[in-house]
Amino acid sequence: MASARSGGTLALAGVLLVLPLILPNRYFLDVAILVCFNAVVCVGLNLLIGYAGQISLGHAGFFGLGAYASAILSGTYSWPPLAAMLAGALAVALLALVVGRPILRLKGHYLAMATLGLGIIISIVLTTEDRITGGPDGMSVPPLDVLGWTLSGEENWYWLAAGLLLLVVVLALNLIASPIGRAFRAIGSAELGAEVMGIRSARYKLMAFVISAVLAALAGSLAAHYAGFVTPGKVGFFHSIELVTMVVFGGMASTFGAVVGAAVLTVLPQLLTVFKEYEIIVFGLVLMGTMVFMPRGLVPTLAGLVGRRAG
Amino acid sequence: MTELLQFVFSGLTVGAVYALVALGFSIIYNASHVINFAQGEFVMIGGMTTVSLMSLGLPMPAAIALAILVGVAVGLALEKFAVEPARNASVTALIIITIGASITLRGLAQIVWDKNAHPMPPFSGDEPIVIAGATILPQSLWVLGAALVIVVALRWFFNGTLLGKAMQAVAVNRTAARLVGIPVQSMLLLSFGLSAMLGAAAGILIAPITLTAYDVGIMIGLKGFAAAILGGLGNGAGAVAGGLLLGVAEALGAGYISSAYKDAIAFVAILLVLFFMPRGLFGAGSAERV
Amino acid sequence: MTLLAVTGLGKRFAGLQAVDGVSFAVEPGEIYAVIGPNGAGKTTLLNLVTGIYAPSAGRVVLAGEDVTGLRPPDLAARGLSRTFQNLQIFSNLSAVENVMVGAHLRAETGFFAALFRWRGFEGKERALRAEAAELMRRLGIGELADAPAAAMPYGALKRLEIARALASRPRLLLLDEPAAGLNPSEARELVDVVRGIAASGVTIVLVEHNMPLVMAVSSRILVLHHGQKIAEGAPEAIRADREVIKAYLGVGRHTGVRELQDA
Repeated sequence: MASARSGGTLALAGVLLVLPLILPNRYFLDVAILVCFNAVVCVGLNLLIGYAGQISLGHAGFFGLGAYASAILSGTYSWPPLAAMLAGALAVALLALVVGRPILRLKGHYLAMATLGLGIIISIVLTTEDRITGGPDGMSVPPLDVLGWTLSGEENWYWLAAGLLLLVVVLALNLIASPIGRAFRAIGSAELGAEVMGIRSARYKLMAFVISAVLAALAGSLAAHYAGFVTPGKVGFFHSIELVTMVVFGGMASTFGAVVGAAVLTVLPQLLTVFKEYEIIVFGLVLMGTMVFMPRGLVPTLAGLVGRRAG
Repeated sequence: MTELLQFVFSGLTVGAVYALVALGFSIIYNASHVINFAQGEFVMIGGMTTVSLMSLGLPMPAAIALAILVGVAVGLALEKFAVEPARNASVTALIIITIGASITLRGLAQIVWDKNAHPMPPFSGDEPIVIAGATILPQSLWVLGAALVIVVALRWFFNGTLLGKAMQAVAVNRTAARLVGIPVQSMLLLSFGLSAMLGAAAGILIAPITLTAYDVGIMIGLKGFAAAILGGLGNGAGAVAGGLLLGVAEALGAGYISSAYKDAIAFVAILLVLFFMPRGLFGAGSAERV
Repeated sequence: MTLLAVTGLGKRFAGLQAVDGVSFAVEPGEIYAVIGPNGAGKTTLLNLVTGIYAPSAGRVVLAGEDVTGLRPPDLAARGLSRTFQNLQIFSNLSAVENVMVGAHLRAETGFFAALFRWRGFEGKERALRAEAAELMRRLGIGELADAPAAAMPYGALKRLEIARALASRPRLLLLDEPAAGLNPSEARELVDVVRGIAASGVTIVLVEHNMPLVMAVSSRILVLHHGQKIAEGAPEAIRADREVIKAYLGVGRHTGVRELQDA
């Protein structure tokens, strides 16, 4: 178990190190950066969905709040970007803490509905309060400036995004292998059994919810600074669905699965542009096909195949 | 008072559409425990197919009948080729499958038709009718009347016919239903066909009031899901009540609070209901068995 | 002092009185069995005592403290643990991790200690894992420690639940039909398992259908019928009790008058 963990981390570090050397141009590096940001969100979301077994169809809302907090505080109010980012993350943590308590009492499809509603409410507020957020047209975001040094260029951004992803993966793996992670997983597979063993499930569900919300907010802040622009598009229902799809596609309850899912589903639309107007159809079909034939997701299914062949 | 009545009229009209979509969610949920996120696409297919068949010169009743058949065919195909092969997948995986289906259907609609919004003529004139000072469109009466007929027909189907009772048996206990010889698989297929029919009918009814386009299914689908949850998932009467309540709440919110926040108000209302009634307004409280 | 005192416990489900005014007391060190025909209310009684259902009437007192209506985690903190007839296995954890979860209340660490594996964390985890593996050995499933729980055979899962419950170091352990689904030889092995647990100082409440097991290990037996207590006493007395025999006869040959007599 431990060796597979560190092996996977080394492999991920290797890929992240080599990637900039083999990617032919900036366009690919740009995609790689987006993959890293999405992967950070997915690793967090996987703690909630894959391990603690609680669905959320509203995490794009937290991503969006992070992005808009950075845009508004560092742009309109000229805060230092780092302070804006932290303030955004803190605000999202508080929001998740407050709404998470009643929401996480719900189960299954009711929880799906509530989180979906929460995400939609956030997205409507961000779209409607156009004097603050620029409305549907969005608003520009100042560059990421840390103590007078401004982060620019795809290469630098790549190292930041890749470094963050690696850190988040290592910390997530640590958490999963700790009493806290075991509590998540216990709740995810047999909540009653977990409660009888002394696990206060409400508290741990809330913890997973807040962690995943904060990671989404941080990724949202960084993505906003990187793009230099935010629009409500990345806050809506679709982006929430996209994030869940990445987690499920890669394989629930697999941290590397979340990373792979984020990578595949971020790169796929870029590849599918060759299908021109058929792009969306092909995307939908790939999604359906994968889940029909690999309902456990990509990484667990492939790992199972390799394991069977080796064993 | 007139104003209030006006809001209630428009709320009931939209609410009736939500109710039909919510019924579709409930029927499929009961038969298979699947939440079909492609439910809204049936609404789109119903409206768009009718519009395009009419533009080809077909008379309205024929266009409507054909459009419903197209919707049902798509529903059956969805069950046969996407849901059935994934019988053993987790609930979340099934949700992703139906989302994939809805993305695919929307993509197809963009190609078969276009990205524009299309008007559809009302069933019978557009002279508003005045009731107690408030006006109501004849099409609204069509929506309410047709929804009522459909609900009554469904009630008869589920309680008065052998086939309907068999479907209910599957909903209550799938294994027992199989043991007494009910072809469970066919019932699942039927539930998708029936839900698609409801969705397509809803789409056709509302199109003359709201226009129709390739992407109308998203919001109507979500609202239908919300209505089904509000009424207690799987509860038919609850779905109808949930739809009407949601429609009226939304219309009142838009009228008295803020029209920009119309959709947000609907979702806030649902969150509040769920916080206090975690299984919806009419959901059965069930104790966990061990 | 009495470890578990139940007085007038009752539970109504929509028109059905599943448990009706049941009282009993379990003394420290006892193996106290609860038997009764199918549908007698045994599992409901267990769920009431372990906080899964809130009772409609009556009181539950654990070691002198009124714990009526407390939730399972609160009861776990007071030294009560249980297993489940239908199993509540953590299928996405390895076997030994399942047992480690049993020790959750002793294992809880700070969030940052878990994130960064601070000093002391690794050592604590290792000790916990060794203790869990030892418990599995004691229950005869030591070789399965690293197996994914989802891949284990049914009989081993039953023992895994017992090991997990023991990892919480309970004062009172409630076993919910530990022999159900086991083959006769596996069920016979349970006699030693249950006696061993009791010998280590854990008081046991055993809900069970398997009469040979009940008769072999119990110090006292409570018989439930239609949610009511119809008899209580030592195994020999219960075997000869006319009310008990009538209750079992009424239900039919299926539920074991024969076993009751032969055991």
